Amino acid sequence: MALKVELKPSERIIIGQVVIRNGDSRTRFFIEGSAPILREKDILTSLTADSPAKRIYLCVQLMYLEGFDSVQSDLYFELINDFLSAAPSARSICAEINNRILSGDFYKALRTAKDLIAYEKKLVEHVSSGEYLR
Amino acid sequence: MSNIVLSTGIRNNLIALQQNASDQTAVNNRLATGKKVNSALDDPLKYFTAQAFDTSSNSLSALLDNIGLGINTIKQANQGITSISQLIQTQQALLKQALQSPPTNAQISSGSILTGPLAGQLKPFGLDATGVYYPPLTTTANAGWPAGPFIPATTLAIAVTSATGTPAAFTITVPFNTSTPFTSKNLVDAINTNASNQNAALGKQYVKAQIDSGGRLIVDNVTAGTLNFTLSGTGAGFTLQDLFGRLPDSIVTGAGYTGSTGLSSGVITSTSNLTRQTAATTYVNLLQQITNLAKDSGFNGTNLLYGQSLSVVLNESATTKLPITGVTYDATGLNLKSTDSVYNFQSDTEVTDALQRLTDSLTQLQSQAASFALNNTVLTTRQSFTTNTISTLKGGSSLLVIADSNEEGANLLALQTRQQLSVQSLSLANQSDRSVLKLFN
Repeated sequence: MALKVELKPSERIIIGQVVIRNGDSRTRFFIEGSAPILREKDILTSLTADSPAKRIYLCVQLMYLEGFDSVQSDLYFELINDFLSAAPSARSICAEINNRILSGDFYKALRTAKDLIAYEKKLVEHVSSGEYLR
Repeated sequence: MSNIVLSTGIRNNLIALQQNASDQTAVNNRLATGKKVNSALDDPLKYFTAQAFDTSSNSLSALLDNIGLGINTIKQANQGITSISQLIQTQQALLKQALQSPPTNAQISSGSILTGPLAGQLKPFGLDATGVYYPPLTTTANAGWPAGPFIPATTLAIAVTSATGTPAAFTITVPFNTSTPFTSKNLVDAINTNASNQNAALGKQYVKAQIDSGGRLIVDNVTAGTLNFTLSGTGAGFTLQDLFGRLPDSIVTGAGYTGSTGLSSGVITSTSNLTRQTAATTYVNLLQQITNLAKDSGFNGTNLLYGQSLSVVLNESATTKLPITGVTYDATGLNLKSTDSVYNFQSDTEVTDALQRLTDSLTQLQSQAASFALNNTVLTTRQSFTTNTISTLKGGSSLLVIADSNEEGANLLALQTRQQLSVQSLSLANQSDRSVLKLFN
């Protein structure tokens, strides 16, 4: 089944090992076959991944784009364990990411990692807003 | 028994004391089990969450056992490959040693090799520098070339009695009467592909012709036995000497040559070389050992070297699996013949043929070992991932704390600061730079 993608002017997308940048007009195209596909809004880099959850997301993103290996696996668990010792309540989300990775479904693992970022944001906002109230 | 009347104040105190005792029991119980939540009544939500983690980690443990078995099966197969490779190397040494003992089989080899434009061509078959068919199809001798016309439809008859299989006899017509060049390569092909020359039982020829690295034409009876040559044609004067460029006495290896007076036919007999015969026996024994090793390379009922395959389940729902296809690497599977009658190694042809098979099978083994190693890496990575997942889940069930969003948020902010300077961030940045993501920085 083909995947329909629509890009805004100058928007970028990763397909497999290449980056495609759209020209000046909106473009619509279809992708057939299987390759890692990531839209620009879903992409984090080492510069933009500036929080613990975003680093986990970046790590899963690397697994998705580059394939799963032991180096990434070790790094991933360091990040996950750091995160869980700071915020134990995130365990069920983390377990979900683990399961997705175990099933080889890295794209869904990435979606779940996005939930983790949202959860982290909520927890951190709690602190910030608390300070604000004080 | 008289009733005891308690005042309201005392009753309240008593209830408080009972509550204290009950709390004390709970605390003691928690201390003893190491868990904050022990039953569904303590805190239903936490309890069932913890239960889910425990169940999940148990089923992952079963999975881990499965992966471990898969790894061991691969290791066992790999061990088998190593051992078989060692046996093959022993065989290679054995055959190289056999080659050093001069062959005594019936063999005839050419002496003359043309130089110049026709380098490597056997004299009777070839074109000269100007493209003239050599030897000229005339009845007169040409200066500088051996005497004797080659009459049209000269035939070369070769008869073999073989130590094994049915004796073969066949005739090759050498088409000296055509304008198409008939080279020594054509003669080699004509001998090797002759239908009567094929020994179906052995899967090879009775008589093997080849051009060696020195450009000489060699025809030998690959098994122990005799080799008969007869040249016939309508003309006279064409002899084996002309064909092979040497006197019959010097062109044979073997026990003896009995030629007719006209030297247009002859019989070469052979004797058996005991050193080579012994090597052949040892070789066949080692082939049996290879087959035995292949049969014994199984683990937990799966033998990847004897035709069985393995499918390792990688996740709880069994939706991802790693299929590992087995191979049959006994002597037959490695294309090493194991019938006693096949080899006696009397001719060099046979020994080099066996050596080639050994080299090929080593290559085959190496590439299979590489494929197993790849599967092993995948499984090992999976194993460590699953182990880590289990420890995370176990941590989840035993470390259940009352979630304090404020505390967790503060922890995360602290972690964020700490991670900025950590090795992990550096490692992530490195990996990103090596990937397609570098195009985004």
